[in-house]
Amino acid sequence: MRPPRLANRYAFGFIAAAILPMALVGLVVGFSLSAYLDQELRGSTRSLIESIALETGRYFQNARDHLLVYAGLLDGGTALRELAGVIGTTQRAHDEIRRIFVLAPGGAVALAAPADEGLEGRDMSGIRLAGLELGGNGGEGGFSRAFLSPIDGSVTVYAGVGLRDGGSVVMELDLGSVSAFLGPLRIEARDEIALVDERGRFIAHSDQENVRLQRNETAFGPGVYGERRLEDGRGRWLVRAAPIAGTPWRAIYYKETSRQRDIISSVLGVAGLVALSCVVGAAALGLGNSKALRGAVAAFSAGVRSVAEGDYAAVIPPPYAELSELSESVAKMAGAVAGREASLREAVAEREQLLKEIHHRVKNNLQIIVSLLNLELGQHPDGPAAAPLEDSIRRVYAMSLVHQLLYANERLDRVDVADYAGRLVSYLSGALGGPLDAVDLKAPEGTVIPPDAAVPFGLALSELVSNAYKHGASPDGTHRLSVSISVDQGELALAVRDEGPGLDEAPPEDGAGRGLGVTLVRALAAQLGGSVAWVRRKDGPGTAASFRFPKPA
Amino acid sequence: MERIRHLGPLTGAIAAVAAAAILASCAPRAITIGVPIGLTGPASGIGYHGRNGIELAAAEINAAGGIAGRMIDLRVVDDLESPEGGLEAARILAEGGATAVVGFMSSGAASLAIDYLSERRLVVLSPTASSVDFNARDDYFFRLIGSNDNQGRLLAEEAAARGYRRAALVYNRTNRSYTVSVLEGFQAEFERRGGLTVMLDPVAEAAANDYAAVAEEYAASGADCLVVAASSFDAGSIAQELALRGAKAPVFAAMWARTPDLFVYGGATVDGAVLVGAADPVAEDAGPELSRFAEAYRARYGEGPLFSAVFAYEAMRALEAGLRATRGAGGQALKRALLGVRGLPGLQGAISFDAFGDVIRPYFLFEARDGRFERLR
Repeated sequence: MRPPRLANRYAFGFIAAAILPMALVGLVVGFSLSAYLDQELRGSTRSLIESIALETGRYFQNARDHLLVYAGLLDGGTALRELAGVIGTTQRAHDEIRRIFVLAPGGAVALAAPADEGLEGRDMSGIRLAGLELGGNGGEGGFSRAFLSPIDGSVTVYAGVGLRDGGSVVMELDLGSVSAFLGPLRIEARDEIALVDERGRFIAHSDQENVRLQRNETAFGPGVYGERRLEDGRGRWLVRAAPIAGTPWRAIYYKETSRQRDIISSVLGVAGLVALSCVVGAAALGLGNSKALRGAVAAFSAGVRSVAEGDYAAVIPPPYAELSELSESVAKMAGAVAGREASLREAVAEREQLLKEIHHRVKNNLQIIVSLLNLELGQHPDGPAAAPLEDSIRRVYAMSLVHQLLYANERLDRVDVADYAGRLVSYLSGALGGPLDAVDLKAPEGTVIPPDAAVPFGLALSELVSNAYKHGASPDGTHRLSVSISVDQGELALAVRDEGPGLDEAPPEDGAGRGLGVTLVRALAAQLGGSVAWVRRKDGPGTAASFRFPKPA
Repeated sequence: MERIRHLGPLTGAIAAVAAAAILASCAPRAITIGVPIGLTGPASGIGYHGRNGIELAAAEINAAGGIAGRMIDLRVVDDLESPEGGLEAARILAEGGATAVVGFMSSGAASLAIDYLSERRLVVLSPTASSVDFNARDDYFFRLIGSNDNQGRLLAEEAAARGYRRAALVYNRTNRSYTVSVLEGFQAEFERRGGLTVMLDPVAEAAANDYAAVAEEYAASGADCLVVAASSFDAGSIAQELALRGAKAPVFAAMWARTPDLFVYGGATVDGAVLVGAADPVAEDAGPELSRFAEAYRARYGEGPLFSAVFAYEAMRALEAGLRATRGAGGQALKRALLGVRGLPGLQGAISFDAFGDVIRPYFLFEARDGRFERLR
């Protein structure tokens, strides 16, 4: 089966990376759209309520304009009776004007239209008009607070203008007509429009019931303008208040926004969901890709590693098509390396054989030397040269033993210390002048040293054992030696102990007084960078010789 | 399969949203309090301020975390200031599942509703229904204002002290449960002090009300003072008619008329009128609690509170104390809890209920002067 293409997986990863910005774009678009919808909603509410406030302001201004005309006529000397007709005409032409009064200084009704004798003389000083003290300055005027009629529940507002003589002209306005005017201005039937007085009470409302039950505006504090969001049991509202010019009152638009809010929430929800899905999808794709890539690369690397470690027959299937050539190259390389290694092994084996042959010949030659020396010794067994000849035979044997071990070994670069020492002590045990009664050899298994250290080590061992044999016999004439070899702190330590009479003193440093053996041992220690020492044993009779040198790697 | 596992986070998010929605829907249920209030008619000013006082108290209770974690939900119904309207409002509230009722600013509106609500074990706290008809009855009715015959007695003491000996009495017949008991208190005290009383024809809030007839009847009665147990509209209109006839009588009026609207309807003609009232929340000598309340009220409603707002606020606070004791339960448990209320801090002093759920409090006298009520004693 053909492996998949890495490029395709990379493309998947790229798609995953691209989805994230797409999610961000989705969110930005969602938020922008909802912000735009919200702005539109707010804008339409604002422009509408501002125009309502403007129109309402004009309505009240119109009332005041009428009053200013009457005040001008009265101040200009027009008689009350002449004015009555004009006022009556105005009142009849405007449904919202319930009555018009001319008040005498002090607040008593001097003239009422429509004419009502019962009202004349009535004290209206309890009705305070903002900006005008009844009986105050001529020409100035204002509006009263709104009153709920105790008779019919209608809302009444008084507008007044002062006269020069201290009197005033006052118009009683029925705001019920304003409520009727507000209803059709709503954008949707669920919306509400209201006028509130300075205390926050509804004085006109698209739903007159709010006025009749003296409800309060709750979205804002008294006298506060601006925009608020409000939520109550009936829905969610966008509320906007605008001042009505020339009055202390406000016009308020209550836009019921549940449907719009639902749309905006849906847009945001969809954008959020899309973004969330994108993020989750991208994460899943990315993680899946990453995991698959890591797994494939790890398996491929493991295959290559096993080849590098010598498993040239290992098969490395390529995880992706793009790696097929690499896989084949590694296989070819493995084949080539395997071939070259086989040749090299052959050559090395040949050379090793040759080397072993050399060691064999060296060993044979040294054996011949030993034989010659033995022949020489046989000619003069008691001659003065017998002892030096025996020493020489022993030394040459020690050397030949190294070569014997080497050619018998698989490895030509190391000699097993325990094996070597064992064979050498065994040889010495028979080669010395008399039999050793007991030799206790202790040597750590597996300790090896190179041949160039093995020869001086073997010579030193031979010398120390011979020396101990010669000078360390027990008082009963037996020869009990202990030979121990250990590795201590990177040093190879050889200790030879006898049970002889012991040294009176250690051999001098220059070796004088002990003959060639001691000199030789010192020289061998120096050659190996080590040391040698003889001491009287503390644990019994006898001498302990210690030969130490840094163990070669 | 692996792809399906990757949908885990999305599923988790949806589950979290769903869990949040379910938890939100498990919020503690609100405690519905019925508020029957007269919001239309001549006395609606009292009702309006009363409702505002209740609203303010409820808003403060809710802002402080509600009662045992439950919010107060007010259900306001117009009782039309009439016995029938009051009964209808009580029916709407009882059927609407109200836990208790705070309202009925007038005795008339409460008169038929009390028995109806008591039968259904619904506790009623009335801020200002002060009729003697409710005295000493073991029912579910509690009130924050003293018996109203004491209003009449206080006015009689003042009239007698000022040397008046013949008093003409006029009352509003639509709220006669209250108005008649005020005048009975006046009569008893005034006659005990050697005075005489003349009862004039009663008035009623209606466009066709002939206040001129009252003025003429008063002029014909030979009385030297007029006692009015009626609304501010009635009192102001009568004063206007008297003034128009040049018969400016010394007026003594019950608490019902003590609203700022008296000056709107009466203008300067009500100057000098003596009225009964409770502690004045906007007076300079108001206590710290009353001043704090007046300030909060002004901040919320843009005007100073009327006495009815003070009583209504206290009624809601007293109900709160009862509901806290019952952890929001109504009925007999709430009645017992309220009967146990002793020395509850109120705006006008400590509140305690007697065995019949009545509270006794002093009234004060005020004189109308230049658009203001000035405390006499």
